[in-house]
Amino acid sequence: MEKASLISPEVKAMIGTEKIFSSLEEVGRATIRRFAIAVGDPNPLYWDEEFAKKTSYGGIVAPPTMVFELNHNLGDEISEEDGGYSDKILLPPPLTRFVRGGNEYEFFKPVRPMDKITVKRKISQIYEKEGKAGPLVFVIVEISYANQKGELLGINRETFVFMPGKES
Amino acid sequence: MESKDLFYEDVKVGDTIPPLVKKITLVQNVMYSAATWDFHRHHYDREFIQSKGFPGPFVDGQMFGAFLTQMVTQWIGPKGVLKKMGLNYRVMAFPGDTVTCQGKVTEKYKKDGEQLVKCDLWIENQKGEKAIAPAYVLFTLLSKEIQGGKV
Repeated sequence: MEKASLISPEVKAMIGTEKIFSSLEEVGRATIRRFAIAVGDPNPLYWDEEFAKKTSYGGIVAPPTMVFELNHNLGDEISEEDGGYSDKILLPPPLTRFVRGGNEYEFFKPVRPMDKITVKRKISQIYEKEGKAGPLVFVIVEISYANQKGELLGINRETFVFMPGKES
Repeated sequence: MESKDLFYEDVKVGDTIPPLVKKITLVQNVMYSAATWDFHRHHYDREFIQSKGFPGPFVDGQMFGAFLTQMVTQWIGPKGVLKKMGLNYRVMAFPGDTVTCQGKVTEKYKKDGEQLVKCDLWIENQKGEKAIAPAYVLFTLLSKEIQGGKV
């Protein structure tokens, strides 16, 4: 007997769906400096304008992967229960447990303090694979980041692995 | 911090990247959450996360992308430009873990007027387990011949 697919018509309908978020304000130097401090990266390019001016960048830029964390700044309500965003990508039961599988980053231009970011998030693929402990559903989300001039800054392709189980 | 620029001619396939060691603390985990405006209880609330079956608060996977980036940019200097990076998550990381970022040059080639270098990357925890693998980075370097040229 063939096993039922975990990819229901409801899940299938999510493929190709897009969402756009636009930031209300500039990224700002503080966001960049705090990110660098949190990572523990001492490079003055991320906080010292005098130093940064003398480099080929001509001014402060953000650490390369920071752009891929800027969607949170644009997010909507934060749930008191789990601290997560109401807008996160979820699959219907039984696919209530998920883990991050991987990230693929493409860097086009560095983020600068005066950039206002627009994020476009697209669910590009959903497919099923048999894992060691049972069926897994892979969701590939492609998130692109542009500035106020419409310049593409980066693309992040994230893989999430959903499985039946306890909510995470 | 002084970083010296690495030139395309300086790099050979098989060269290793100076490793970067990070001891991740709960405070750092919270700083990263705050800096990225990510307030999920995953990252700081022990009781909450244990009720979901995890041993304790865990590290945001994308912090590893930032660590690998730091290792690579410290090595190549400000004139090297990152093009792509990919990473796969193996075992979860928790505050208290000490992780070592490592890498090795796998390819160098010229294309469309650019000097490209590709490296395998990985991150090991204190138990010798691969937390991140496989991973890679692709970046451009200036050539000594065009030193001082436009980046």
